[in-house]
Amino acid sequence: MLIQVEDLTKTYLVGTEEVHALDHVSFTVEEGEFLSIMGASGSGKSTLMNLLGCLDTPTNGRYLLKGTDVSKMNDEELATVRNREIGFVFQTFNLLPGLTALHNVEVPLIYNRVPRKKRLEMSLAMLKAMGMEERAHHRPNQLSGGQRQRVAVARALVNSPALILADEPTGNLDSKTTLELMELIRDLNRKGNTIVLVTHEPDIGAMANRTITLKDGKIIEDVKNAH
Amino acid sequence: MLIENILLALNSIISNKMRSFLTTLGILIGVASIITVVALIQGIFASIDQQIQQLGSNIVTIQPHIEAQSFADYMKNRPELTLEDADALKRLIPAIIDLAPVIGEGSQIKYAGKTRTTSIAGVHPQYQEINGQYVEEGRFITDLDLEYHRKVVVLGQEIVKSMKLGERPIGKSILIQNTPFKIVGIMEKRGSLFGRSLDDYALIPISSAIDLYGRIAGHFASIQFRVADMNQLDKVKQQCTTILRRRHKIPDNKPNDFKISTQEDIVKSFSKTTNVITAIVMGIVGISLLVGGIGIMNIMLVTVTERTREIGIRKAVGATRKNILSQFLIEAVTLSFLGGAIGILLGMGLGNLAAHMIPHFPPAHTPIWAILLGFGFSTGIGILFGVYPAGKAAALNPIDALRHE
Repeated sequence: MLIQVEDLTKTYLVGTEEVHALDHVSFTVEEGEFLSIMGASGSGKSTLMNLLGCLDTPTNGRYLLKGTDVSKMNDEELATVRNREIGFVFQTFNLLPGLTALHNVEVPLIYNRVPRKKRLEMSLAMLKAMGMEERAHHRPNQLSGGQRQRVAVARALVNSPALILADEPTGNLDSKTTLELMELIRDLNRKGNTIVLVTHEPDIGAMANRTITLKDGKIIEDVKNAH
Repeated sequence: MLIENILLALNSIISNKMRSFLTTLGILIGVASIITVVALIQGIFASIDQQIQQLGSNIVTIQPHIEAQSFADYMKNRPELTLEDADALKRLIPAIIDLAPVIGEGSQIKYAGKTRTTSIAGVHPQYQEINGQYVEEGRFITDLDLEYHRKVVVLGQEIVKSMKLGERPIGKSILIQNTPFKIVGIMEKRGSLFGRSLDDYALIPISSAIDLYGRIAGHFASIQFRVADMNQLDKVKQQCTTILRRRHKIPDNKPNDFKISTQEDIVKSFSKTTNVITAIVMGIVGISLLVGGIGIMNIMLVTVTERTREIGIRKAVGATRKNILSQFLIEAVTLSFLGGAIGILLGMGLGNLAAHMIPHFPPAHTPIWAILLGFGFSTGIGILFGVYPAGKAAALNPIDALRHE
């Protein structure tokens, strides 16, 4: 079991009123699964995504990643978990504009203290795997949306994380590149990567093997998708 | 990680050239102006110091001196040192060697219709050794000149130039107090100090000077001598004081009307002045670098806001608080260090330029301590004023930072 979530609750105080962005959510994710999390805006999927990505800590409940409880970790420890175990792919790509594709992919390896020479080798190999070798020395603003997202995927994968978290990864792409990126993500899953994809688009969510649907901070549906 | 952060800082500095330049401008100008001022002041100090060093170390100078309230007061009680005083010292104190009284007068000299007022000093042949200033061309005043009251003169180079004495002045005659003196030698060049030429003087035998001005011209006399044994210096000073007080009939409750100074005293009072001026300069250093530091903090704070998203991305992919803190701190330090380095070079250049442009100014001199201080201070300012923005950057919540547009 890669992810075990028990009674995960996140409460925000809005004025004097308590808002349950997540309300006692429990589920598990096996290694090698391709899960999509769906829901309208305000359903709590972003909050769940932040918790799964160790960007935030829950108000209540437990989150075990690879058997370790990360819900009680401090900032420093969470940063290390994000670095080693989680690869993010964002809707807005979130590449560093001042760095080339190669150096963007390199960033997680820097914080993992990989020696420089090895870092560059690994980053280049990862770009090659994404078919982006030719663009290694281009800056993000010299790349198309699809190319930027491929660089972002390369960055997410470079530390060989246990979990890939994709937050609306196709939100800024046209339909053709959306299909290409989804094919890439499914291919990664076939190679054994565990993927959690957050989206509000049913078509995209249906490409996963399993879909969890949230509403008002609660799971209302958890189904396997037939392909 | 340190090297990574320095490379990162350099990358960020290069990719934001204009912003980086503006950030360091305060530090740059501060350090540059300080180095310029220090270089000029140190140049003056070095030049004065060198002139003091030219005097021998075992030389004692006695000059007329009183603590006067005003010029009128001074003129009324004008102290005198006479040639008789000098003779008495020589006779009574065996440790004194090479005693050479100098009588000085401002006098008119004339040559080929030209007139100039310069200082005429009646000197002994030992003058050269005592003052460490030697004749360059021709010969100096000799014992025979002294004995026969010869009307010979040794000139400073400024006079040769301004009186248009030509290429070969030796052998020509000039008029001093309407008495013809034959030029026998030219002194070596001493340069200038505070824009005043140090070569504007003429030396004649002291016996001839007495003929010219009379023995009572003594109130402008100074007495120089050497002490054979340095260990006797204090004893000799004491003996001089006793003899001169008795000769000048000074009551016990009155101060001396002369001043005995050794080279050591001059160096001491000189370095006291040096320290005061240096302290003032240090004060200006502090203020201008503080202003530069606030400039750095200002722009770094703007930078943190501007780069909130970058910080969010870095945190998402695994940067810890410490990573972000050191990244921004190192960036601030690198900026201020570069500003300091450019400022030092610029300051040295400006100092030299200014020293060249101002006539008669001694060459600029930038001491190592000023360079180290420039580097140390600018780096320190970078740390001091970089900590707050860096701390602010490190404390950003990654979720909020990622959402920031």
